[in-house]
Amino acid sequence: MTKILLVEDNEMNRDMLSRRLLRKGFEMVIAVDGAQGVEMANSERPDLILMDMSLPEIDGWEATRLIKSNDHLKHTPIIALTAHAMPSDKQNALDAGCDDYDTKPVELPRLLDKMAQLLNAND
Amino acid sequence: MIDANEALKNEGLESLTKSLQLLLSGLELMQFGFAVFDQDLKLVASNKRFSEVQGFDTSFCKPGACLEELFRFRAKRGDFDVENDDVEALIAERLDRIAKLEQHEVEHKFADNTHIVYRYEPISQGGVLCTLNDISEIRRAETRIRQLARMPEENPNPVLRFTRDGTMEYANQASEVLRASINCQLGEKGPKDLQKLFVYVLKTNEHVEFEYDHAGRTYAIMLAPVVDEDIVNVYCRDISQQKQAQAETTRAREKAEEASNAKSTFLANMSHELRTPLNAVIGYSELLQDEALELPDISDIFVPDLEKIHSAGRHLLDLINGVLDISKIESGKMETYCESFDVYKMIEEIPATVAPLVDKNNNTLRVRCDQNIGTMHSDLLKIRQSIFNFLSNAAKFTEQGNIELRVERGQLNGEQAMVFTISDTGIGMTPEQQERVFDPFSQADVSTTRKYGGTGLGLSITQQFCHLLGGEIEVESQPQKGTSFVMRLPVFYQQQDASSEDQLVADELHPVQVDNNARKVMVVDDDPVARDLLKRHLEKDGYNVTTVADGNDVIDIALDWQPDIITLDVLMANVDGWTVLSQVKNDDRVCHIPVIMVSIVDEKKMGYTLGAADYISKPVQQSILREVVAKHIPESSAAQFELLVIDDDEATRTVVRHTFEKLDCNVTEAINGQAGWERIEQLIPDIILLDLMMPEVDGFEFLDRVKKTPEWKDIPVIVLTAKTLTKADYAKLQGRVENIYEKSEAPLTQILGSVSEQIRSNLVAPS
Repeated sequence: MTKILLVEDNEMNRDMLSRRLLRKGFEMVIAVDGAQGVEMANSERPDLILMDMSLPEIDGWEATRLIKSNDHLKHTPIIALTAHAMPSDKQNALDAGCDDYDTKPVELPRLLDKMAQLLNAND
Repeated sequence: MIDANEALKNEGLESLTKSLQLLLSGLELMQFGFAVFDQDLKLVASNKRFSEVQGFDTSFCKPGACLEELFRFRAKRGDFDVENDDVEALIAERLDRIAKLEQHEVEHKFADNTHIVYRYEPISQGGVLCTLNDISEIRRAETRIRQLARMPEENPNPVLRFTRDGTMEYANQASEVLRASINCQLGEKGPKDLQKLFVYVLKTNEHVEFEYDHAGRTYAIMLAPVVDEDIVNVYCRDISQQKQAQAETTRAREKAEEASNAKSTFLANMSHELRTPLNAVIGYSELLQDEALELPDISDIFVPDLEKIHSAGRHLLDLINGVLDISKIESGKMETYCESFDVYKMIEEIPATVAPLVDKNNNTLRVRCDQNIGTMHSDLLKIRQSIFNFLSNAAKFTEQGNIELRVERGQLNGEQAMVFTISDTGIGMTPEQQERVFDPFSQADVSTTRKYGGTGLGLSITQQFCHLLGGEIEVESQPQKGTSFVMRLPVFYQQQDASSEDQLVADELHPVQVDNNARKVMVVDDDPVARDLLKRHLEKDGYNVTTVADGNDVIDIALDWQPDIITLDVLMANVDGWTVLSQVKNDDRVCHIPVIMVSIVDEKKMGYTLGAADYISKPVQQSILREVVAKHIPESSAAQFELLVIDDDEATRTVVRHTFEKLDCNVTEAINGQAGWERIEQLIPDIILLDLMMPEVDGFEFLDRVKKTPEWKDIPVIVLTAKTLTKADYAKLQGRVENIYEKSEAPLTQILGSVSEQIRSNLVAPS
């Protein structure tokens, strides 16, 4: 089963997105802040990471940089999720090492599409 | 018989009479009035001017006339501004003074404003000479000067006048406060800092304006030099109030900006705060819909309601986004992100995106856009959103109809433009509705909103985007027939924020300096925008760039211009880039030039097979372009040090050649001064080694012409000669050559060793 790590501090968003992805047949692991995200990326070895950008402790950009600088994890695709819809946000996310980017509120079909692309590319 | 003496006497009289007549005629012509009176003050002689000026009749003013009578006549006429009783006294006084035979002048102003100075002068043989001088012009000029002099006095602003050494020579009334505050009065020296300025403006003969703060007041001061008089006029204006008003305006503006910033920050934060719970509303309603669908018993009841919650959530989200956009635009915070992109590629993706909207009302979308329409430099996201807004608008108000998106090239204010036309066969608009179509929150009417949905912000935002990108929108519509929107956008949009605008102006004022020695890049592209962009990028990096529009011209221009590198577009109208590439690579004359392929089509392999040096994909990013061009541009040959040896002795030339070629110099030889000149005409060397004794043109003559020619005079010259130099020779060479070596001094190799040392030790270092 494909394992997805969702890093998201907002409880409702976390619950909602994880439930919806569970229904789509993914195995979900969840981290509530950036530090935990990095830790779980290491311990859980997910197939893909969904990363909120505005996170407490370590923010999403920093967490992404940390994960991507780890030789064992750097091939794990990361999709940045953020409520900011500025083109610069997209660039910042990509600069930090994210493989793709999506805005919140999440449009599930679009997100699933992006996830599928990255997961297939990684096979 | 006439006595000889008498005859002589008569002749003398005749000559005397002639002289006298001449004298009198001369006196008649004089511009001064003139009269001679005898001891009894009876007129002896006068000229015409004398009568004219005083308005005397010549029958009245004739020899024998009494001066007293003349006075009386004038008195009667009212010339003298005195009572009747006093007239006699006045006349008596005047006559008395004249009779006393003392020289004096009396000025009189006649009724016609002529000012006459009467000058009475005693004649030694007795009698009086009276001359009349018309000084009306002088008096008028004086009056005028007096009147003008009032102007600075009446000027409410301080006006001062200083001499070169800083002494205040004049000051008007209004300068009192200023004078007191700078502690300088008439005849005193002004403030030290001003004195320096006086000298400066007198030297430059230019006005200088500046602001001068003193004792809590601000003055605008202008110094106007009067070089002829060594004087500086100083005009001041108290601008304290104006300054204060300005400061207040600035403060007010800053406050307003702060408020506007606060508003923008608030809106940005609010939108984030609103979006987060909305995210939950929309997400959970979708989730519940999914879950409800799996429970057939309750799905019929819940799903429609969940759909309503979901769509209301989406609507709210659109509204928030729209309001945020509008407020950003209004506060000037809406930023544009310009990039170069292929228009066809952007258009190609649109049908898939809008398909759900188009299908909803059973509409058909037709897209017409030439595959080779070319690139644009603008804000891709905003253009895409604008087209999307138009299409979603068309889809909303059209049922079972046709929607068309057409893209063409056109003109806008004399510049190249991309024209996007979005037309539909929908419900159309009345002229009144068309007028309000771009106003925020003003859909045709309230019922429209209820029936068709939407935020009423889309077109308003679209119009603002379009203006932001330097374009314009037109709308044409007929009720029940359909609507078409035409959006014209400049193909090359230069971001309008202050810095880039300044940059643009600066670029225009100071076009990129193209160094003729710079490496040459030839840009081949049939799209003028792409050409211009590449040219700008490359010129910024210091390359000398020429652009070519037609691939067929590449070989000819390359032969002529000898570029160091070529960038070549793949998709061109006349001939494709691959053909041009193989032409270049199969031509011995130009095949050495590296070619970089530039294309939106990713066909690297094809490029490398055909001999391309590298491949850049379009839209071109400056950093990549810079890197790739720098990587492939051949090593410069200009870095070689050029040495010219001029010597008739072949042995010397050979030794020099061997010595310096070992040091990586490029050595050229000339057998005498004439040949030397010819060499320099072809290539200016970095240094010349010059012999003095040579046939035809010797070293001295050679040197003379070199030092007289502006382009040549800075070439360093080292003299290397077998001649034993005389004092005169030294004098001729002194200061014109870097060094003088006599061959007899030491073995040639040793001399050349020190010459090369000298070259190396920066004296004549290659640049």
